[in-house]
Amino acid sequence: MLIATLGVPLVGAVLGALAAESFTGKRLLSGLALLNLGAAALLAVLVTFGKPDFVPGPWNLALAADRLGVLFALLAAGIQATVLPYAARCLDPRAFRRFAAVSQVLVAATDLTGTAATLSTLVLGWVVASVAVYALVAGTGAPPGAARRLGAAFLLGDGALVGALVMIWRFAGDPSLFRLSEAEARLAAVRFVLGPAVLTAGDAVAVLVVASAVVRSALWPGPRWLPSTLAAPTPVSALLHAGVVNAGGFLLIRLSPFFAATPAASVLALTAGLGTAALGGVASAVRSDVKGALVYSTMSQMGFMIAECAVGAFAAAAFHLVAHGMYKASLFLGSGDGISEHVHDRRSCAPPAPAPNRMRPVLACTGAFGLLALAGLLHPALLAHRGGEVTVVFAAVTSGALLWGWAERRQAFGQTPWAFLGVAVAGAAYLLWFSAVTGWLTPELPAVGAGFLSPFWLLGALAAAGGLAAIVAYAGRWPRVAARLHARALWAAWGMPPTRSAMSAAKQRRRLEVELWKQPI
Amino acid sequence: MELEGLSRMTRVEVVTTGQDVPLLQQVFKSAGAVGYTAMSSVSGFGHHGLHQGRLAFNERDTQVLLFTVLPEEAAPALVAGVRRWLADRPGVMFVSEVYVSRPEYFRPRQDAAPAPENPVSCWRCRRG
Amino acid sequence: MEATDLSAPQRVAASSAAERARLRVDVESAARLLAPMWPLESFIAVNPLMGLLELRFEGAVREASRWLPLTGYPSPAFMKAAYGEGRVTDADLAAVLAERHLDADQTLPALRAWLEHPEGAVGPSPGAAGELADRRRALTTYLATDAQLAAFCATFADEGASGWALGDRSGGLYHCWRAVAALDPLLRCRLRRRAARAVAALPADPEDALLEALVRLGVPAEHRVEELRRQLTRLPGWASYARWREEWAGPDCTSPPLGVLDLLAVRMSYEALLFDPTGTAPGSAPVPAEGGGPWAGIWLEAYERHYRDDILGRLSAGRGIQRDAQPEAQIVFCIDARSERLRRCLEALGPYATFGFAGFFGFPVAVAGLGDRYGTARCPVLISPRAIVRERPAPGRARAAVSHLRSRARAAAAHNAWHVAKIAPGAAFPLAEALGWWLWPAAGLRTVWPRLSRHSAPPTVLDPGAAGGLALDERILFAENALVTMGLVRDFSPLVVLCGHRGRTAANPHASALDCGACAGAPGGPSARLAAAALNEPAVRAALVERGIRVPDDTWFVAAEHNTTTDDVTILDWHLVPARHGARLAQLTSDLAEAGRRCAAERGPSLPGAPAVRDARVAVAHVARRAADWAQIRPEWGLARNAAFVVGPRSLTSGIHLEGRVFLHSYEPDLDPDGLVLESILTGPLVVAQWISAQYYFSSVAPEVFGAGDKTLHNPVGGIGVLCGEGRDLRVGLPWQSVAVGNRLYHEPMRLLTIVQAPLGRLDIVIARNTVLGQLVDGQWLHLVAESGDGTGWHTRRAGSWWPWEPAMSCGEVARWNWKA
Repeated sequence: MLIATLGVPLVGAVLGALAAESFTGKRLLSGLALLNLGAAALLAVLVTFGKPDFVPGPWNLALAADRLGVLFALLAAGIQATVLPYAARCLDPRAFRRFAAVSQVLVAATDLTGTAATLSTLVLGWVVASVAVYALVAGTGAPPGAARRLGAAFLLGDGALVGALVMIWRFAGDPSLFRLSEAEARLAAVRFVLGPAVLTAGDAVAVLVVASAVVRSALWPGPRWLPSTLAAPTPVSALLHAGVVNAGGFLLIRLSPFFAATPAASVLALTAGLGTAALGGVASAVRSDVKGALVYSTMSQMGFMIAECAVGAFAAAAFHLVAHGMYKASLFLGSGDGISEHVHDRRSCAPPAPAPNRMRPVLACTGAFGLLALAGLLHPALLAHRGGEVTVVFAAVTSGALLWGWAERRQAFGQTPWAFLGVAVAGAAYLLWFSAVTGWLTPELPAVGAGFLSPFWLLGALAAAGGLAAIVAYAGRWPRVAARLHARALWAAWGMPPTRSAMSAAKQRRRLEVELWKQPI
Repeated sequence: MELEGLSRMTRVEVVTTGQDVPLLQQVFKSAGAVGYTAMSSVSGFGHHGLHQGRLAFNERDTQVLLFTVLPEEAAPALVAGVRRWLADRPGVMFVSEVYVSRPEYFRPRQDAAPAPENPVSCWRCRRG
Repeated sequence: MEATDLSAPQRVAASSAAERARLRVDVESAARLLAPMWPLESFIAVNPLMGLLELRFEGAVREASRWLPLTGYPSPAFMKAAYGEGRVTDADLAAVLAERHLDADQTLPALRAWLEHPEGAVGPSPGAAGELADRRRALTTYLATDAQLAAFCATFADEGASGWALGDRSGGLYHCWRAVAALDPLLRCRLRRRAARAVAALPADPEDALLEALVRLGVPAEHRVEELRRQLTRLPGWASYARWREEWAGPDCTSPPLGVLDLLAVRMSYEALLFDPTGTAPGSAPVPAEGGGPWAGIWLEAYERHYRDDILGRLSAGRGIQRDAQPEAQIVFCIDARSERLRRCLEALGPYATFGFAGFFGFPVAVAGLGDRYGTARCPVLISPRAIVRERPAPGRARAAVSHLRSRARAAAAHNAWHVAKIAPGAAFPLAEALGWWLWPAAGLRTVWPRLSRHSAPPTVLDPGAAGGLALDERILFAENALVTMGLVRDFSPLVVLCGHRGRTAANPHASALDCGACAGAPGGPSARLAAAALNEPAVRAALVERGIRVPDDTWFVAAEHNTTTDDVTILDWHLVPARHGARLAQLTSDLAEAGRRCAAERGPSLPGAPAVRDARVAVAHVARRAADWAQIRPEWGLARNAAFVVGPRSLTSGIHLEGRVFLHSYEPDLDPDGLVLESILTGPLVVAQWISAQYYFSSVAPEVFGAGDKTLHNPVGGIGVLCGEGRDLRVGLPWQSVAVGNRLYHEPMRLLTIVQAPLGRLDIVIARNTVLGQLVDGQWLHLVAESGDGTGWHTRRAGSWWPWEPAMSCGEVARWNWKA
């Protein structure tokens, strides 16, 4: 079954390269994608009932199926099953051929990463996926600058990961991913002395792994490659935001034993994650174009996911990883609705109800507390696993925000109980599903070591963000502050175009001719 | 000079196509005129031949007569602008003296509201 | 060190009002190069060079190519392919050369050599190496300024698409920019600590700022318009939108006031602040491209001539098909080229007579749907609406309407809740987690099984005479105008159908490009309903009798809507039709359905990705699926391959296969002795059709400048337009997929061929007394062909006089070139 999960997309890649332009070819490809999805689902079922598969291969490569890996592979297959038929109708035949071939390779590589049993397999899948992403973006018509930025970013990230791999090989051999604590112990024994500081190999590996995850998930201190993908067509963007950026979180979960003795790495990851969550959220609110807002929203969500990994809430991070992928992919595929939805909204928006402004916070808080109470009532076991309280608090904030938004546009007060009911039902369903999925995942997740921070850091960050938002929301009192914040956010969100560095005279001349008149500004 | 309680002002009339009306409205405003009157579907015969006044499905290519009255001191600015426009557009301008009974209607208001200080950014400024 | 010393006495003390007025005129002269761009909710096809109409076609293209990287003619590669396929022949070339008095033997080899010419490189002449360092730095500044300005425009022009928007924008773009320019990273990077002071020293008024910047940059007064033009064409998209906003949007438009002068003020303030007096800007006007020259124009004329010979041959050969003595029903369609197919198929099915008239049916109003907050104009943009007509619930159905409005309000509230939750801190994360599980299966379903959601609306009434609508004499006037212009003033059949049209697509930012252009980019159904309601009114009918148009009492006007994507026709307001017409209407409906099926079967195979089978049922199912498919990038071809505009009675074109490429407007020459009707047709619908034709032409020939680019890279911005890929400039025009497949053009880039059946003298008078017609016809923006109908044959108009038409090749071999799918 494992072989099938990997093999089907590879067959699809070959088929795509050969026959994607014909009508039957497209049908076959879509069928293959569905088959892949079915195989992954079957694998998930098998794994749930305790029949793990293990496939050893040459050069210490091996595949094994466990719940987390299978979930990741299922996500990739599922996204591909939707995006491939979409691309068949959206892209022109030649571009579709390239897309079909390369995206299947990407899915195969993602499956490889997910079902890897040894570290070298994981890194192999990772690197192949990076190359596939570069080929996708460069091959479907993006200008060379965009592809170059992407390539450089991936080179950096993958370089960090390969460096970590080399160090582990050197000191601990090639461990199985399910027995990493021994490797970690061996690494902790090796020490380097750099001036006054004493680093263990474990520290170095942990920092390199965090760096790699930060780059892959497009977090703030790393190179900003995600906005460059605006130059790629919609299906490519959908695939990237759904299947590629969340690999960083997966990496951190899988390699989490290395962080047990290195609190610094968790702090690094948490800072990067929370910082991106905040900055990305603001940038996404400021951008007025649909895809730009989605790009920064993805960055913000990935930041949150990495932050969850950094505090050890692995099950929550995995849940977030999967759900967000599906959410973003659907939003990207539907980005063409940007105009008509806006027009419909504008036309049908009646003036706000005459209820006073004070009602909105009241409603929102009532909703939030109601959800908290509901959560407490519903499922005490929800609070049992790590990060459960954080999830509940965030869900409460969401329900408050939903009710606030409802209150801004409601027509008659009589409809508010229905809104409450709707939010309560949705919240309850969400919490139940969350606990089910995390309960399914938790037995097979690595244990949380001592090096991880407490989940309550996330709550603290939320409180700080809430305070800042209150300042901005009540901007009537501080107009200058709000205007300046908005301006800074605006310029940061749109970003400066990269400036040119020194180059030879002939190249300059060519560039002048080309860029002055063909630059897509 | 006052004439039986009336104030002297300058009247500027321009005959142009409907296409140029927005520009001329802006020129009037830039020069300090407070308002204008437009008469559309004007037909006539002139330097470029016959001009049919009314077209059923096109308002942009018909003739329009625009005129405004403004204080004498503001008139040179307006005339300068219209002359610049006439340099490469077909059209005619007539400038004449006129006496009005309510001069305050034709002067810019002194208590006009100034432009807003800071464009305040609003949280979710969605229309409506 | 880059900025000038701010204390230098270069400041304009207080610019006089005269200076400002002159500046306004100069700005408008500079902006005339660019055509206005309508927001995408009501896409209007415009002639991209409409401001340069008086320069004639070649002159306008040459002038535009000084500022924008375009050649304005089809490329040599395209012509080579066409020549190879026989779409252009040596006979056509010889005929064109004869007209221009050039010797064919000498020039034909040069023409053929031009085909091998590579695409002309467009750009500035490469300067000496010493200048390059300064030019490189100036180029970087230029590009960075473009980027920052475009980003600010995108934020300013946003109409509610972003979560956190600018607040009060009534002061204009310049005022808003100046308030925050000190925080611009470009200025801070270049000016460092002097940025805040420099920005504060800028004038408060955009006109003053522009004047001061011009002085600071040392632009002499005689070069001012050129410099402004150069600045505007750096961001042609936003400048076009600003032009629309200033000149065409109307005084009660609620969009943010992005004006051309403000745009220039911001742009030149950037340049003035970053100006380095020791370096040189990439200053001089660019060298025009080599790809043009006289040969490109000759090839284009030959290409157009081939089509002209073809269609005139068909029209001449098809003469003599008589209409039925008394048709069962008369159906009035919009002049849209897609109606031609349906008209042909319908007339073949039964005793029906069809007419062509602009899709707003002569009633210039704005319509507000049920529950809409404001009305949208439903008339060509060349005229302004006279009144707003509101849709109201049908009598006795108020309850259904109220519940419909309530559900709409609920949906809007839920939508708003989602938007708030997306940006509230911390709330976005569980929202994504919760929604993802539900959105993706919905997306998967929508991809695999496309189905358009049916918005069931309660029955409504659209009464033009309602409060706030048109007065009675206005209704009478418009009704009379419509009937007289069409030539439908006698011999009314029992049923007269007014059929508007619309397109229906999913997830398409350019959706309104497929709707009726005569209704300002909106569906034509409401206009048809209005017109039918007015024409059915007894008071209006009585007044029409007084004016000589006797409509029989049992004639009933019915409104209908043709969905051009799926080719089905829906009868609207069925409940208003009297019972005596029931059977006839039922028969007509089934005939319309059959005609629609035949249309779908005819045009289906030309759509890329369609099954090759020619079975009608398969074709109908396929087009229906295409319309509902959100992944489909090309749901229908729209007006691609439009080529000609025919003004004349239906007997001229009846039964002739025109491939859905021709705009057809009804006109009865005998009923119009003084040429007024002809004049209103030629100055109204013809101008609109010329705009459409020019839009398609330039989007095919210059897709980087006047086209919207690849549709898969589109990124809707602010709810008004699209950006393409990483670019920040708004894209104007039509997307590449609307005119081409892969790299191959589907649309044939030609100027509009206008065919009129009217006495030549009448045409001369009408052209003489309307300047715009003179410019269009004699400036080679379109080709005019006419016949008097008295047997003298077709005449083409060239250089102000009429020449008899002769086909370039012998009668027997009119070559046909069909696009192969």
